[in-house]
Amino acid sequence: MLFNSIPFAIFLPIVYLIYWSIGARRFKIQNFMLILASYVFYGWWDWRFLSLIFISSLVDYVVGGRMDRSTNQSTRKILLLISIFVNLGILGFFKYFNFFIDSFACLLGTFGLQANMPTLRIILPVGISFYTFQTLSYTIDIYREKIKSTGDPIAFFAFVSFFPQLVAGPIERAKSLLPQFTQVRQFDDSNARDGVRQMLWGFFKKMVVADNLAPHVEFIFENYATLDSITLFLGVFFFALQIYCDFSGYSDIAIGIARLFGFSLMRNFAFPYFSRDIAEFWRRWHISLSSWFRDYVYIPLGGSYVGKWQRIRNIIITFTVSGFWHGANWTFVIWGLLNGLYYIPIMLKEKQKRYTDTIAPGRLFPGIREAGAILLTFLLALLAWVFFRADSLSHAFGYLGQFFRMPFTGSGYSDYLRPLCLAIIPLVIEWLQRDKQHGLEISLLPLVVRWMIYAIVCFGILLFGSFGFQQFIYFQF
Amino acid sequence: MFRFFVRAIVFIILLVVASEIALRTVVHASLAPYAKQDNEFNIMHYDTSKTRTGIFSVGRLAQEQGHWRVNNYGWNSIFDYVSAEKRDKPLIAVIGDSYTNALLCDTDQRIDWALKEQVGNKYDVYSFGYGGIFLAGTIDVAPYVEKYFDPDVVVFLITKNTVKNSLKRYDSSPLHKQLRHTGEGIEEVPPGKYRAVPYRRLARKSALVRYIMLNTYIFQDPLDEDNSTDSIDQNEEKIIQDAADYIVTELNDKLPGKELVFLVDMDRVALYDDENTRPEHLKTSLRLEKACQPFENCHVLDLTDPFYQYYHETSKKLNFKNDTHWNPTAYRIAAETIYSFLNDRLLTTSQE
Repeated sequence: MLFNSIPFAIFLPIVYLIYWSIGARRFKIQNFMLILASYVFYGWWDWRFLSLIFISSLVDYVVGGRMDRSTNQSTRKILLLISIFVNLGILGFFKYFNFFIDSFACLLGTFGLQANMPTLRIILPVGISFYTFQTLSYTIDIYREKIKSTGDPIAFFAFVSFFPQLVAGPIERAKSLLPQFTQVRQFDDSNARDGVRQMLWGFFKKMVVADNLAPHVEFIFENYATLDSITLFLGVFFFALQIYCDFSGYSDIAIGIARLFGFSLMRNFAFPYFSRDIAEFWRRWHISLSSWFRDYVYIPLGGSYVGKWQRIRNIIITFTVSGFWHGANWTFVIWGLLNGLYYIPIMLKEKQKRYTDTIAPGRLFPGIREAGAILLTFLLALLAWVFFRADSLSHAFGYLGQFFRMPFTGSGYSDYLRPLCLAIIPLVIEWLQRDKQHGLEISLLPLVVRWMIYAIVCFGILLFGSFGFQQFIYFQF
Repeated sequence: MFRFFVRAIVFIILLVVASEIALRTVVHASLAPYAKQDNEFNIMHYDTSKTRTGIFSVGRLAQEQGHWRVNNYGWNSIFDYVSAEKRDKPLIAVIGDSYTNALLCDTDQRIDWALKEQVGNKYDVYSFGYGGIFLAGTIDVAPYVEKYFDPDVVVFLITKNTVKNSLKRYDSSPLHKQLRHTGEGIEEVPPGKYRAVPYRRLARKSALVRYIMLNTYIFQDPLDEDNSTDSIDQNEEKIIQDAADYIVTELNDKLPGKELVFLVDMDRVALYDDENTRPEHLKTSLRLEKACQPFENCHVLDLTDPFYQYYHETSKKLNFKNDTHWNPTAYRIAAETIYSFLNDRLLTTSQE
């Protein structure tokens, strides 16, 4: 079920009313009801894949409990390996099987060997990478003795399948989300109101900005060979805004819905395009995944507390794996690798935490140096987005080649004026709101002004939004 | 929680009221005429007892708009129709589907007006269009037109695949006549009964509901055209040809002694893709030409050449940006094509 669909518009109020009418004190019944709702939500795509969530949840619940009770380190390790094997096995089969087979056949081909490797028509279950990582963090954290296992299977199953963030995150940690399922959740009026505001902003970004930019991006990337450099630049600029508004829009809606149900999810985006270097960008972009890789890949590899070359290796591995997580395509690997390469000089100078404050606090505009840093970071991100968006490496290199080959002249840009305006709207609004949690956090404004702003956003969605119910980009990951 | 709900409900009510005002005055939410079924002929037209004028629109912000007017006989036309007994001029009747109905064009931009401009005072031009009807459905419209208006020339405005889709096995048109092949021959499938659904009639009173349902493409993409390449085997082709033969024969029976002109739209997807040589788009013309061979009064006009010529001279499309239906230019070209043909073959003869 898509957030931006009619079934969800019916589903959400029903679930919401039932949930709160159960009563906050009977939170276990609420949890059970959330499992049912989440399974309906997920099963709307393809009910067969519910079995994968169920298996993943069951294995990790049992493994987590046993691991917690066991004092034998080797037993704990075996249990952890079982959890990793099952979760990554499911993920690997559904997401990467054909990729490895094709790549292996291609490798054999380079040595002149013909191989008729079998590939399968595998459908990628929606959101598999998200819930797999979420449930994996539970067993890994128990193994590391950072958390205790839960004895409440209902709470655990609800934690894994919680519908607002089930298919595209934020990838929650058991440490922060699971305890919320084991305690009473009180309705908080101001939290609920801000949740609705956050949802509204998410819908605006998705339906008005991302979905309207999508056809332009598609056209430019498909026809890059005949287009001039300015158009190609616009193509990747639009894509940068499309993917941001699509994914951060989803996160805003997910977080907003969770707040309506009395849950607090982690922040997933913190206005990343205002970052002053790549390190800051990665602290602001897809925060739940970046921090997951930091905690479960980068730090176990040694993190920053090792020699220079090992640090470089750790960064390259972490970013490359992060790229590979996005999909079974070399374009994602190169995208990850490129970001890793951007990161290395900053890390070597140990300036990765240079920018942790709000950008240009108390000022309307950034200083020239800040603006330059933001622009440079954005341009580096754009270069990497070309690989992310391209269908293949040859497509990406063809696009870049055409960009540098063609002169910066052309005509017919008037068609791009409207998408350009659309792309700039969220940037301007979020710049003004950059010290807030989301673009529509306006609780301090007078009621009349707030309502007028809500009305403008609603009308914006109604009049300019795309109601074609396009899927969110990150569902495919 | 109570305060939260009260505020939410108050806000929603205010938003709905503001939307209703805005979508009636500033952005015109799409409004179509009320439908009605003629019980005698089993055909669909519009209800003259309901709203007679309005604006039909497509797209967000109602980017494309057309003013419609339901005339005295329940058809979308700028003209009020005069019955055969009272009319003093010969009549050209245009029968067809949504292309003839042309809700997106103002009433003075449609085929009847454009053709009337061409023929001047020599002829009256009436149109009888209703969306969703395939060529088989015109078998029911023809006797209605014959009874009330007794036309001299009847033009059938043909869109792609309308012959093929007249067969129930390819498409469904529940409110209009279709055909089925029994193995021994062609058989008619009568249209279903039209029933106005009360909740729909109620919902359409809201401009907000109409805007969401009709302007936002919530259920379909209006640019999604039937782009099937029509690649079918010989056996199927024979069945479709049988259907074409059947329809043309029936139309001749229902409109005895009348000049019948089948004006065939060209495949504009092929035109814009510069695939004018694609053979599929000619199949409808070829089928009708074959079906018309036994009848001297049946003629097939193909819009391929005039549309092709116009597009390659101006690079301007012949349909709306957000909708595949013809724009006023296409109607003008179609009218010129009809007039040119009639002038050469029929009008001069008639005047003589």
